[in-house]
Amino acid sequence: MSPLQVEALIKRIEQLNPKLNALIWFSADSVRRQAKAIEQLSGARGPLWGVPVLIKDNICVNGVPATCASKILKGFTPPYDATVITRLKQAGAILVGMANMDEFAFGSSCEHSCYGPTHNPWDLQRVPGGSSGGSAAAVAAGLSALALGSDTGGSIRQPAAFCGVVGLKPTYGRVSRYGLIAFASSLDQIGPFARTVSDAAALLETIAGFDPNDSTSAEVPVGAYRAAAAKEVKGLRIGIPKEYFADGLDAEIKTAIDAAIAWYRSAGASIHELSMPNTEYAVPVYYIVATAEASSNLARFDGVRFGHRAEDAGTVLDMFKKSRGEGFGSEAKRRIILGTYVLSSGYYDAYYGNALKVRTLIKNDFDKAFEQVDCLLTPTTPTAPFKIGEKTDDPLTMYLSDIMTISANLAGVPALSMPCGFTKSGLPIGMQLMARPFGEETLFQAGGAYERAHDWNKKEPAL
Amino acid sequence: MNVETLASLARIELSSDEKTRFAGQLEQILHHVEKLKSAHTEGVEPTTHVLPLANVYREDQLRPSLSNDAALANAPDKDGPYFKVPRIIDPAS
Amino acid sequence: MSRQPVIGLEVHLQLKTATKIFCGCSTQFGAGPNSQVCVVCLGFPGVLPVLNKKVLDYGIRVALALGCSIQEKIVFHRKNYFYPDLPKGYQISQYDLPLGTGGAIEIAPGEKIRIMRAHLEEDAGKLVHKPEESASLVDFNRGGVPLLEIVSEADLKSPEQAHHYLKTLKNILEYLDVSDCDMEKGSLRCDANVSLTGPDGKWGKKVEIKNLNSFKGVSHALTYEIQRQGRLLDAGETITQETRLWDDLAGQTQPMRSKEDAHDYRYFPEPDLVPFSVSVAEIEKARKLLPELPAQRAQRFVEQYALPPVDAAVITAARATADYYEDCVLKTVPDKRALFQKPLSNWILSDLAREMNERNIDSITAINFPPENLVELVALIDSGKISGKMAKDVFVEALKNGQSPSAVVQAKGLSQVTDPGAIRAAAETVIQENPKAVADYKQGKPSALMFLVGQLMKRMKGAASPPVAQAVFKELLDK
Repeated sequence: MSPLQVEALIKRIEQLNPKLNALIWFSADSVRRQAKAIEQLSGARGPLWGVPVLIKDNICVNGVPATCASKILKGFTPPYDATVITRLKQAGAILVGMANMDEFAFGSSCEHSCYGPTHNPWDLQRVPGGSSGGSAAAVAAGLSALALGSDTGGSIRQPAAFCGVVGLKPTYGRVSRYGLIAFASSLDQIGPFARTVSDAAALLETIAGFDPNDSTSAEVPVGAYRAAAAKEVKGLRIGIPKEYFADGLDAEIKTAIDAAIAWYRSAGASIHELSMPNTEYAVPVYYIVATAEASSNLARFDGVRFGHRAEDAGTVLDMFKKSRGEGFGSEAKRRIILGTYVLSSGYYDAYYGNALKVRTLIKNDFDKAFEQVDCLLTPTTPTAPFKIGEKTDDPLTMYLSDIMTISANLAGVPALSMPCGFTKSGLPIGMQLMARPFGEETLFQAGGAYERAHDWNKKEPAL
Repeated sequence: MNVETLASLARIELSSDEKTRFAGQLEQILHHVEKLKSAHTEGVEPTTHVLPLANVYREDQLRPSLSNDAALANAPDKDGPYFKVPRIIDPAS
Repeated sequence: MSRQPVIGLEVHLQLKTATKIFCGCSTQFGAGPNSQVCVVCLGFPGVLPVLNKKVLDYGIRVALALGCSIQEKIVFHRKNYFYPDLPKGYQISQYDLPLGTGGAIEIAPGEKIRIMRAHLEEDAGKLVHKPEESASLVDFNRGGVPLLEIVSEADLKSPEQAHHYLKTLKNILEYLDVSDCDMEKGSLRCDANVSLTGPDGKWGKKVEIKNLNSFKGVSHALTYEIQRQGRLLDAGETITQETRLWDDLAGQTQPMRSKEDAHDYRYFPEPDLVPFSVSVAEIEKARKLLPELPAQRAQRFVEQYALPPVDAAVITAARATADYYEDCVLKTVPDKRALFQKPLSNWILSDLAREMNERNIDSITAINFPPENLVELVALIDSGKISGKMAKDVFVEALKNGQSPSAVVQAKGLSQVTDPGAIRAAAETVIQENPKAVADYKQGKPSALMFLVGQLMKRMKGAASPPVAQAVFKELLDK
């Protein structure tokens, strides 16, 4: 970026962020300093050199506060870089700041943040989706070219769909989780947000790969994702799982997805209707597995080594209970309690143990589907962005809105969301592409070809 | 499901309003979860890891530790080189 | 029918790897508080564990030596509970798929104690209580140090047997060279489960005793607890299933303040670590690489050093003692080895053992008498410079002031006179003063010669070498 571009970006953020509340930590000086410092970097300049990247507030950057948008982590400054951050720094990217999110990534609306909600750039009355709502809104509004989010049950794809940008949840193990403040360890993945499929591909190429600090990252070579995004789709086999088109799917979204399917057929791909019968179990399995792991992952917030400690605690037990009672928001408390319950003695087999078995069934559905097709095409969300405050008091309805995205996390497969139209009222619509494990190239291929033939991403929100 | 017991096990103090609210919401969620009972899981192996990874190690090699200052930098309370916490006594005693 | 104690022991062994189980921090004992900590072992947000390969290797070595079978699939679980010394709010441990199961050790001929399981886990930090400030301080240096937990079946029937099991186990562990096995430093810790069988032979309620920091503590605590439970049952009361702490100073167990909730550790498979498996070939390789264990070494000592089996068993029980013995043999000049191997063993089993016992020393290495000193002492006897009786005094003296046996002999002028020339003058005087004995000798009474030698020793204050003195008398009287 030229100095002029740096100043333009800073100005845009300072002007628009108060409307959106997408960035919760931003330092113009830090951006200027990084823009200067990357001039000194040795080595070839890759595609991310000088490119602004916004970081979700649950990814650790050495010396920059990371709070997961939670009161319990206010004031916490990690003394280390997440592996994805190390890779971005080496690539010469400019870290713009930290993005708003649902507390600890618990949510689908970005309303559960101790910094207040983020607003959807396409309609400020509406949610940007969640949990990576700040990242999605910022990219949509041009506050950053790229952003990192994390996706445990749709937290990248759903906000990407709601904000009209591209978002990818990589294969489990594709991107290191070291430095990502864990929500559900067996489901979490860090992934890119961008305006275009090829930009998302460039960001993934930079952050992906085996990391010796993450035992669950895979030693699978990183693909040529940008090259894949330039390919055509002739001969590609695309599956349409009927369970994703059931009751409750918004008619406008259905129309947009049908149009996308028609386009793929016209572009020479073959379309195959198929069934993934265990899809109906995805939401209950997810809310057992994810909350169980979360209840354990969030035990470290105990007020001893970092984060919030209640002031009037006379004993250690008091300190634990009060600090956590004051520090966690409602949704976090609800999920910790549910997770504690499903693991507790006498209930483990009925809930957690059984959920792990049903998880196998869901994974088997994907294995079978990918014997027939190269990728799956579905809507990303059953509805367009809802209004802020519309669902906050109804956690179950909120959970059910993740129905399209959750299965990919349970099966560990990669999934991309990209714009495929707008509602009559001008709200973005997203479509989801899913591929077999480590099949990100297929997603970029299918996404890139569609994107070249459409101009949804040329439209900008009026701000 | 006893919200109060679970909150205590999870070391979270809840207001009485939260207790009532959560109890209702969690019952509703658990009711939805009941659906899983109809899944055919006989003879199905549980999935704890989606990737078939095994035997990932590190060698027994030293890496630099944090300085004591850095280790304590985020601590809510400290005493010299130590983290400090209130006394540990049992509420029952 | 009298009540029978039923005892099981859980031993926690710190493995002496260079780094912690899941991060690269040092495990060195005694460093400044919170100086060997990093984001991983402090449980900072976002960190992940990566298993130290050596921890698994050491664990396998111990499990094999204890006769356990290595599980096909080794899985770590999270054990969830809150405590200020537990950084993540859970301990990474093992649950239903531990490293090894189903072993046994022989604590006496024909007396086997079964090992239920051996599993790996991470240690917690250390708390320093400051009652005057109503506060506690936490040092996380120990947090993440690798532990192997060895759980025995409840096969032990008395405090003595438990003590013996622990001692035998420790001896084996020392041979494996995977831990300092130092109870005082906490690298070997022990908890016990105790119950009494009722008249119907059924097991009673189990009480867990923690804080057993020494071998004596284990015996005392078990004796106390068995008596306590017996008294309660005699009085018609019931035993509460609970955890009690052994108070070494007070000499009693006390109930640990009951936790607010009953234990519910909510174990579940650790998603941040992948499963581990060890191939049959690797297990066989590890088995071949097992060091010589006490029983095998005793057998070899019988064959190689011609020691009686009982002596060999005693001398090889503790690795340090056996090492000491072999070091002595090695430091003996080669053509004297065959001659010295038995006396060296005798010294270790008698005088050195007595010394260790009297001073309550755990290891022979703590005695201020290195192997070269013992070799020297035996050589002094062998060469006739000192008698066996004098040697005992020399040993005591050498221990007291840290001198070598030769230095003691020299300093005290204890050396035997072996020069016939130096003895002859005194012998001539004795002959002149004892005509009766001389006459008896000449008439063929052998006891007369012994009498003359005795007179000579008196005169020379015991410094003369008895065989040389005899030779001198014979020479003077037979000519």
